[in-house]
Amino acid sequence: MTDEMLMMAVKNGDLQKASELFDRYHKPLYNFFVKITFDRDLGHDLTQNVFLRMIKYRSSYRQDKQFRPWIYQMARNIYADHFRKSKILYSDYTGVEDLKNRIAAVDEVIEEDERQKLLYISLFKLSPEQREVLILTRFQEMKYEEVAQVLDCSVANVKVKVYRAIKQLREKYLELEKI
Amino acid sequence: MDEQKMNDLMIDYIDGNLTGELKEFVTKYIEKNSENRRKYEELKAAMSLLEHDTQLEPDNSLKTDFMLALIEEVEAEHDRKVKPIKKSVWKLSPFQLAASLALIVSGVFIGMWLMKADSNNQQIAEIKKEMEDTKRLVIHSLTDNSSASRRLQGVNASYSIGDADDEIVNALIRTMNNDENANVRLAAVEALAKFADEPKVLNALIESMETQADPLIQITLINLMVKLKEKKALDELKRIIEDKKTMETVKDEAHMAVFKLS
Amino acid sequence: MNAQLKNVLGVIVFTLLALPTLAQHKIAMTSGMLELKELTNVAVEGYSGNEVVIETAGSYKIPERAKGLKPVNGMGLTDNTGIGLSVKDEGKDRKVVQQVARNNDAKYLIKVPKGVKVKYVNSSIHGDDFQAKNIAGEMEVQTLGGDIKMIDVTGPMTVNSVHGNVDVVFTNVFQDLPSSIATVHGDLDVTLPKSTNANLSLATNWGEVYSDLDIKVENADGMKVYGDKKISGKLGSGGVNLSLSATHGNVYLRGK
Repeated sequence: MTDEMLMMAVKNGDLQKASELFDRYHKPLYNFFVKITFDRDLGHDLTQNVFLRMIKYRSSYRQDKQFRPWIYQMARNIYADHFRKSKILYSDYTGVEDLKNRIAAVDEVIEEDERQKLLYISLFKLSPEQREVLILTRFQEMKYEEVAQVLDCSVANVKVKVYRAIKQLREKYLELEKI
Repeated sequence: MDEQKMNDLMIDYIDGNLTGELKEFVTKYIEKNSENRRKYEELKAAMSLLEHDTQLEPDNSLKTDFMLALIEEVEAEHDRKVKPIKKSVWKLSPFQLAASLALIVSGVFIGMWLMKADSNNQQIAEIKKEMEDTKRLVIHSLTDNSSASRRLQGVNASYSIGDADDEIVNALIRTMNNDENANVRLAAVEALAKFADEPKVLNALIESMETQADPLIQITLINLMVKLKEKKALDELKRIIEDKKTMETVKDEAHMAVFKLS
Repeated sequence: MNAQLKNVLGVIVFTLLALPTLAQHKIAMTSGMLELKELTNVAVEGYSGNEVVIETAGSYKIPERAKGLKPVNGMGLTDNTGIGLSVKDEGKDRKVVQQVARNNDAKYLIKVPKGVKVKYVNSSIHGDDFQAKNIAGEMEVQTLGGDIKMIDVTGPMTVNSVHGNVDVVFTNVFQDLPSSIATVHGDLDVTLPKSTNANLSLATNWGEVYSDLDIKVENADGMKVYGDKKISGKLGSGGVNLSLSATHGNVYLRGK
């Protein structure tokens, strides 16, 4: 069954099918949130919120809508809401201790992979918007067309964002190497 | 070509998404001068850094919490739409039965998760009760004499009960041996085959070869024994071959099975 | 009288006898089950009436000498229909129709009201074909030797045969209850609307499975699978279970 069929079934009252969608999407969404917020607990809660919202607003799903962009759009709204409420932008964190903690939240195997550590520190130093576009396109390997739907912009625009984010990541990485 | 297009192409190039002329074009561009080469190397390095991403595993409570929320929603929905399932099984519409069966599936599933997380005993008790009710429904539908398809549905529903449940297994064995409809008996054999590693079920399957008179079921059982590589069935197979009442086609199958098993 | 003339006369006499005795028997019923037990040549057709109508399509004749008598058979059945059949109540909702006089060429055409379940059992290796047409209710069909042809049906159905071929053309697939069709030595040929939603299980031990439908095959996720070819999958978005098996024959699954 495709995601879309499952979601239509949920919409039509077969709520059990929601657990199948949960199985398919909870890990990517959890990763999406944690790598944007650098906070595992928050990532947990926000992931939970996505699926609660999916069930609550099931009637708003339209058959012709691709499921993946739809649920990611929901995910995006959820963390936007969260940021608005808490009025904290995570790139505002600059303290060294805080950085260490936050990276540790994401990177469990720091000792083993130095490059991985560098990736997440560099990622942390980007803006959430830049992190987002890299997570979607590079980590979760979504198609540009899908990302364009999620971000509500054109495919060309997505490409620009991707290029800039990669370039920015490179710069942050080089800064680290200098230290 | 403007710079942004070139940047996009370069990303596609590094990802290995380009072929033919376009690929050559980018190769030439990179080789054209040292600045282009540097740009390419930088991009490549950043992109290879991105490959060090690793998938984080959420802990189990994420699923548990979700399932609890889902149960609540399902129950709310259930209260809204479906009357209690206490009333006579005979009066249940196929739709209601199907809805109840859907509950058993989720019940087992949710149950497993809840046990794992070892939380909320009351929920577990409720789910167990729900499973119990639904089990009753399955067993009752297996005895519905008015409709073979209803009984078939009962057999199919037993698949949703993951582990061998004693009552369900007993009911399936009764159906396999006594149901008047061969398709229903056939379905029961197939459902029981799933639990054939349980000695009780295996014995029932072997014994059933003796009592089944329908070639369809006999042949299905014989082939099942071959598939299970079950040497214990050899005596019974030989009996089938020697039995004068056995149809030729069944004997052929039994001969083949004896050959494969010994 | 020469032999040829005798034949011609025979035919005329036969025709005269046969025409007025195109017999009919009616059973008032709109629900419950009509069980056709060991009838040799039967075609069943659904219609929107309120009684089962059994007609003899061929020639049902009893010998001159038997006039005024009724056929009786070894099972103690007597003809209570005038067309060689016995109709018996079995319980409240079940009528059982059995053949009393075996040695005739009678073909029975049986019209069945919607809402009446049809059960047909023939356990003779020489059994004739069973045909059903335009039936929207539940059917149970079992033959040993005879072919089974069902056209414009919906299920639910449980159909099985040992030596017979089974052909089924669905108008649509009834979604509330599952269907199962199995034959040991025959081929199984099933036609479904292309838009059908169903959970399919196709099985053959020695034959092949052919289809032009878009079956989304599911992985055998640790489930014990036996039978040399066992295919589980979904048609459309999935739906009621539809199990098709031909142990030695082929399974043909067609879309229309």
